[in-house]
Amino acid sequence: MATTLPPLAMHRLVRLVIALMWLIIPLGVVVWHNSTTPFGGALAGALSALGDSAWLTLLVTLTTSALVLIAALAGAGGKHLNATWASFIAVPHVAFAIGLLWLISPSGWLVRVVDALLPMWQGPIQSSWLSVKSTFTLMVVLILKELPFLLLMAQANAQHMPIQRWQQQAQALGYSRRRFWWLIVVPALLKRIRLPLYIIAIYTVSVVDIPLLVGPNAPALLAHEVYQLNWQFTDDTQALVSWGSLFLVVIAVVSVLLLRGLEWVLQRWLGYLALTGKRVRAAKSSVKRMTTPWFWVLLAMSVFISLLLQSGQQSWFYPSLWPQGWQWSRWLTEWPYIAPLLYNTWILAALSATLAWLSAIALLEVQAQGQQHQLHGGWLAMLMIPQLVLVLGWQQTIGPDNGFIGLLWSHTVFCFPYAYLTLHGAYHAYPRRWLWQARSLGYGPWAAWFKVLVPMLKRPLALAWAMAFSISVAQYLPTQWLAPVTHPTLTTEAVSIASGGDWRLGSVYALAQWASVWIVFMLALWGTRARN
Amino acid sequence: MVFKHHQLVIPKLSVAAGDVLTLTGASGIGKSSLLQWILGVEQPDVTIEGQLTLNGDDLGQWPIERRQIGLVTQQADLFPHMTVAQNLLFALPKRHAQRQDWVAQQLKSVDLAQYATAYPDQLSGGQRARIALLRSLAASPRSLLLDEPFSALDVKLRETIREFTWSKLLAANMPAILVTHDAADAPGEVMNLEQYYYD
Repeated sequence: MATTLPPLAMHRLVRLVIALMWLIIPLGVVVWHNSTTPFGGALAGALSALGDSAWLTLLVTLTTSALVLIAALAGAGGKHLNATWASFIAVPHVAFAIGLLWLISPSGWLVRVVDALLPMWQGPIQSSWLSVKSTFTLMVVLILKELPFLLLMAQANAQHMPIQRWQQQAQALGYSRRRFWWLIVVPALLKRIRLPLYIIAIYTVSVVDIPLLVGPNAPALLAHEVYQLNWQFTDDTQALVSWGSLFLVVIAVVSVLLLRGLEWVLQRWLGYLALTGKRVRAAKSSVKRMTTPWFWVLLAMSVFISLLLQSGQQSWFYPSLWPQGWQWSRWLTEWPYIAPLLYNTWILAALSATLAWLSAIALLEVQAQGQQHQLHGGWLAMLMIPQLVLVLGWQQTIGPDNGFIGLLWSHTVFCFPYAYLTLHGAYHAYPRRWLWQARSLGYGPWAAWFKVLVPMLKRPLALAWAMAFSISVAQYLPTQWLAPVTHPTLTTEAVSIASGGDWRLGSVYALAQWASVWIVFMLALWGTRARN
Repeated sequence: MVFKHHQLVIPKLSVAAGDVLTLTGASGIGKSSLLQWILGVEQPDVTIEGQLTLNGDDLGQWPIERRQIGLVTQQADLFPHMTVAQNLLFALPKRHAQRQDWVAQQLKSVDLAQYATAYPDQLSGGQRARIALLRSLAASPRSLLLDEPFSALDVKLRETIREFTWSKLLAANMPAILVTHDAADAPGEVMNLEQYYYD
């Protein structure tokens, strides 16, 4: 490894093995399955059964992605989200949704606070579009969960731009800081955050666990609909499942094209505004508040406290701000059920994170030795395809309950691109001359790598592993479809319980899920806290 | 040496023990690439053909760590996660007797004994430059490459560090190659690579 002089063939072999394991075989299985399985039913019938869901999915995807994009662009110039906060924000989607629901539901905590502060208020809110399971609630959860990711990506990219110097120039020309940001930085940033934006959009197209908890039912989102149809094993429903997965791919492509169109329009519009020479001051935006770190810390804290109170409350009638009674008994009663799930979750996550992490490091090392510093979107391909389509193909090819190896492989397929994405910036920014120095002092390539590169990159390396771990912990569909009986995890159980309506018990599992991720992130940060 | 837009065809270069050959030339001409080739660093975007010998050894196929060629750069490249003393101990061969004493003695010789437990970011540019040279020499290299080692220093400090470097090299009696933009840095023979430039 490191700066040894490995033959080009070795580099190719490493790339090939990684591509085979986490890209070619997973994709090949799905392509082979779809190309050898005839479509049942007719398109017209599928459109009639799934058309409303498809339109709703497109609408939700475009709306949430566009809002997240605008908020991230507006906030990327704000204070940076540091690693500690970012790890706090990296709450699993399911735990976040369960906790947030209690916060924002029509009779939830926020409404109760308003009730306590405003005696004239007649609560709780009576509105169908604000109900627990609604398109609106779903979009709120998705936006709040996805925005930090895009914000972090936008800030990471903005760090590589000479923004200070640009700003001095623009302000010397009479432009306000806000106008400078939108007319100069945002056009440059738009292209750089294209990939993470598409990842968010495709995630929204395919997400199942969040709609199961908070999404509408009539019509449901397409992925939600297909997920439920796939549990029914009649020919008709299986035909609809096939059509549904094809529609998901089409929606993903259309969403990406439309978001590309939105980017084009924004570029043209901002370019036009820049050429007008106007220097008007823009009004202050409330979006800014949403993109400051304290907003996310406060939100995460509120969700956490909400889960904690819910998990032990005996009764909590409206409009009380606090539960009438709180006991550990639910935790103690559930512990015998949670313990094996924790074991399953941790073993699976630790192994898949390690595999993904090692693969990402090997790939980045090969790329660094070849002086290929650009992020290669191809390695993120598995995030650019609706997850449901992939997992469905694997399930129908290799069967629904294949034990641990198949499950581990499926998790790693999704952990690998995140490990690669998380580590890419730090690894390629690392000056290779440190390694030459160590080797010129007599150390071999491996010794130089372990004694010099690893200690200097220990925090990004640790955070990349923690990120891969958290991705595995959060996986719902692969576990639920590939090993639901033999290897249930905290996530699958939390969704099953909470989607059944037991939010109190769901909170116990959600907290255990959150704690799993949080502990790993804290260990990663604590273990690498030395000066570096 | 074949680059993307030009070539360098360099005739035989040789440096005697205790001498310093200075290479100059415009930015991007390939001075640092030449040093990296001598050091043994693989450069995918440059094609280099030629023979490299040191004391009769053909270094062509030798990995970096076997060549025993030291490198001192403009950035000093002290390992930031190690203290000053640890940087020197890292370079000192394991077989060396009384390692701690040797490090203490070296630091004392350059008036930096009180910085043994300091980290590189707590040192000034001149202090870093001196430690970087001591570190390279600690590994007992057979030759030394100096890649613009003085260019980040101010005029006064530059003169001091230059003298310090030449005195150490003379004492070690080893051949060295210096890359610089400033001819005033050169202690001896100067070679301008632009004469070997071809489009």
